[in-house]
Amino acid sequence: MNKIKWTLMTLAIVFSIGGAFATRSHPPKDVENGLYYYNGFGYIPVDGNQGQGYLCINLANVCTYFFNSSTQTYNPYTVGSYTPVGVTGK
Amino acid sequence: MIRRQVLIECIAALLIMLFLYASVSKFIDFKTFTGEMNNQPLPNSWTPFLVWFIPVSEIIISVALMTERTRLIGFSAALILMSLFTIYTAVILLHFFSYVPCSCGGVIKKLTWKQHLFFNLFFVALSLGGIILQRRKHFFHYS
Repeated sequence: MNKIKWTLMTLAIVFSIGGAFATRSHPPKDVENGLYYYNGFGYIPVDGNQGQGYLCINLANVCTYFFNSSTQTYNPYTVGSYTPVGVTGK
Repeated sequence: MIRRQVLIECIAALLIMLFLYASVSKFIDFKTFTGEMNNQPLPNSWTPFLVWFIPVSEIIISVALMTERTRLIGFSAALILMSLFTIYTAVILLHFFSYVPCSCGGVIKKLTWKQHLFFNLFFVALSLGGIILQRRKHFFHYS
């Protein structure tokens, strides 16, 4: 029984830690240069950090974009609807 | 008796996988996790406490589930934590807060809030099953 127990525990530990590293998101380098939101006319730099200056709410739409320097386009980064903090009453 | 013990080990292993995966995912991308926590409809003043309390509790529960002596405590703590997550998910789905935030956290972030609710309920049931089996085992062991 002890052998089964420790085999299961070892597998659980290896799969969970390995899985966490394997599914870790690798944000594109361009994200470091800042994020933008689309206001219907153009791309505007976001206001501060997520949760402090703005919120990404719901699951529809694209909340923030980053400027892809190699393709010179704005690419989606986070899901949600861009909402300034004050609007939600938070 | 052996079948029950194997079942307890499997439940413990599944919970360990869930909690270790969740906590390690949070620690390796701590900045994103902090942003996602601020994005939740809870006061931002809670964030410095929650960003440490949640992953550290998940690790402590995982360790408690590994040894026979602390397993019942581990199952009980898992039940409490998973119930809290489930209540929070239900409250979000019931639009109790002024907005619905994005659902976040590793691979689990791909789930919608409704899927999150069923996912959490499954692990609440597993924790409860673990407590019942572990208690029965102790009862038969000492009687």
